[in-house]
Amino acid sequence: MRVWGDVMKSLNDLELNKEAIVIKVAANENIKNRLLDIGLVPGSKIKTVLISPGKDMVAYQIKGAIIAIRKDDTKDIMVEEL
Amino acid sequence: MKIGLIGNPNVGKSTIFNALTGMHQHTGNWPGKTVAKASGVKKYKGVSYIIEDLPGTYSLLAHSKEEEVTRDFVYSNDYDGLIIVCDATTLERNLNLVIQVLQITNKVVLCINLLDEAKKKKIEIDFKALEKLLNVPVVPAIARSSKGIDDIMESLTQVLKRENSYYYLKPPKKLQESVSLLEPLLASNILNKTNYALNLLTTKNVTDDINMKILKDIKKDLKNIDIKALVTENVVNEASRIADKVIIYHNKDYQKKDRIIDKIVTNKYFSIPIMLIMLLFVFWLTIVGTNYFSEILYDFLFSFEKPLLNFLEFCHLPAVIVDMFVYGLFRVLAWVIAVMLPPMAIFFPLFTLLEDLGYLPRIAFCLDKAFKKCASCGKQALTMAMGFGCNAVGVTGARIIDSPRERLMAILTNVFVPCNGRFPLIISMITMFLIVSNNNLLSALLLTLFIVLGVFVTFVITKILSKTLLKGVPSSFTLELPSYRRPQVGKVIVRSLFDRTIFVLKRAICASAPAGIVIWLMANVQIGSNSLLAICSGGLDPFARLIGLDGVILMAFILAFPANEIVIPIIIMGYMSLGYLTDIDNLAVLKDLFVQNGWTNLTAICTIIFSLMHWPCLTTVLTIKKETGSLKWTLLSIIIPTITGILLCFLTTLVYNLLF
Repeated sequence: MRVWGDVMKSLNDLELNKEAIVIKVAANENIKNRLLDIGLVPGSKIKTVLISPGKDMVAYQIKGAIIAIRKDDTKDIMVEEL
Repeated sequence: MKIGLIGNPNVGKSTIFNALTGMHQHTGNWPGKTVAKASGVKKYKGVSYIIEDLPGTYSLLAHSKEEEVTRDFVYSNDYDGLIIVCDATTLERNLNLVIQVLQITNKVVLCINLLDEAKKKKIEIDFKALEKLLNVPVVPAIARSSKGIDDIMESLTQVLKRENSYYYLKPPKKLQESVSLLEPLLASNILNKTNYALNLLTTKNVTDDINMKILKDIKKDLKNIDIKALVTENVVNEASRIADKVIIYHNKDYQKKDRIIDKIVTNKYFSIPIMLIMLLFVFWLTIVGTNYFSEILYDFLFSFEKPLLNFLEFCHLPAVIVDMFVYGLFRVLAWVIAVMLPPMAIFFPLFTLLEDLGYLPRIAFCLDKAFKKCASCGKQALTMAMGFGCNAVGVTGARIIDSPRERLMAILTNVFVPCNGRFPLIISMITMFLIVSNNNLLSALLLTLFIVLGVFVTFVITKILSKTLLKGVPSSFTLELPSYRRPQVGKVIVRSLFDRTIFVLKRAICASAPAGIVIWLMANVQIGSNSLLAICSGGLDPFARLIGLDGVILMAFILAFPANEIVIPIIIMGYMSLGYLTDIDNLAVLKDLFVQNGWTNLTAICTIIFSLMHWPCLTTVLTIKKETGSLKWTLLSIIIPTITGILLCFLTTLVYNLLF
């Protein structure tokens, strides 16, 4: 078993072009379901691919698709960098 | 036979629908292009199939208005079979929905579309294995070139003969006990009891006649568990288990090209200039083409006027009827066509190409910050883009916005983007008055400026709304950036010409023919010594002058309520019937007509601004009523842009008169 506590960080702290495994998805209910629908569940891979000019949105590669999410909504998503 | 067509957003459902039914639903490379249900008929081997094209959804746990349509359809059982369309390049994600649906029915054909794109990206899919794992037929397709369409129908006929069954997915561990408690209580005619039990656990309001107490107790035990999340996770994990077995990525870097383009078009410094240059380029092409074709069309159409006049006189019709027909009706129609057709026929296909390319969601991505400052979201940019084609479409398209508050803001401000019907007016004002040197690039630049003004006003009004009537904080949303696709130039041009341009033109003609007669009557009905027209426009004149227009122009805007396209024709009719000019033999004379009626650059500028900002046309108003279901918002959608336009025109007049 791996110990996650030490290496876990907010998705917002994942740098551009870095890959990570999703550990925990905490977000307000509205967006949480939406994120789960697109495949962002614990255990799935996620990669940051693009940051918007205003720096408020980040586009991630999830399950082969590119999905942009606002930083406000991803701060409580915990990941472990690969 | 009733067949539902479902799938994730932007996987080419509408393209498949069109290929199946021979219909021409508008398609584009962005998620949310289809927001309402459409249906068509396909005949195959003597059987008629009614195909319903449903809005795209990621999941059956609907979160937005458009997705509910699809969810309700799938759960309704009011169909004989389903076609699920998947995008081969993002198959794993698509499989979530597939598994959710397969748990309800097995009368499903899985269509893996965009195979050509997948091949380009060296993604290999083992269709046979997928078929075996899911136990439904899997049909590879390239819908854009109609490949695989017959295979879909053939598989469908096979599937419809099947015995009812479903895909069994073991419930999540934490819920297994609760599910097994519920299952025996369910009605015997329920096929997949496990899935049904899970649904009972996730839905808030249960109206079924199952023993409510037990369900309540079970739910109480599960209080601290996010059931929905567990269920979705379970599905996603199953999808990824299947995906691992059937998808092979031969090139790990298959998205490299897209990412390079993305880095450029969403660059901090270049993104806005690129956006403006694209817009400018499209406008420039439109104006160049318009100048050329309008003249030709004009000469062509008016060559019929004399013969028509002679013919009607030859038929010994009363002079009054001949007059009305030729000067009231024919002239207006000819004008509508000559002035309207070229800009529409050029602008619309060009814009559709941008749409096909997949560039528009990137605009939404770049502009999100600005929209967020107005407590809205980047998706509003997509509804504005749709507004360029038709504001009614933009208003309906606002369904892609989840938050009802933000959706309303998008609806109320959509009219600030000039639709296809208003473009010709703006273009002809610019080329006639503001840029007389025939410099097309300058004209395009000015047009871009006016559009930017419209966008700016959109931001301001959205901001004001978010501070007053529609208070709130920006909500959460996700935005998919689809992979770029090479647009099918030929097909786009033909389709947008036939589907959109002819449609809008037809509307313009239908609306302007009666308007032509009304105007003619108004000009010829005398009250005292003045015509009705002179009295009406005279009455409007003092106010109109205050905002840089005149009575005839303002009346034209009012009479053009059924269709914005006919503002210019009505202005022309108004002036002509007031008797200032009797013969117009080419386009340049049109300017003379206006100038003789007291037009200056100010009049042209104010006419453009007022065209950008006044009440929406009748179709749009009706659509807003339908979409909001509220008289209050419908009225506000008329009042807000009208007041904005009047204020802005008034200020412009004030400043202009101070300066010149």
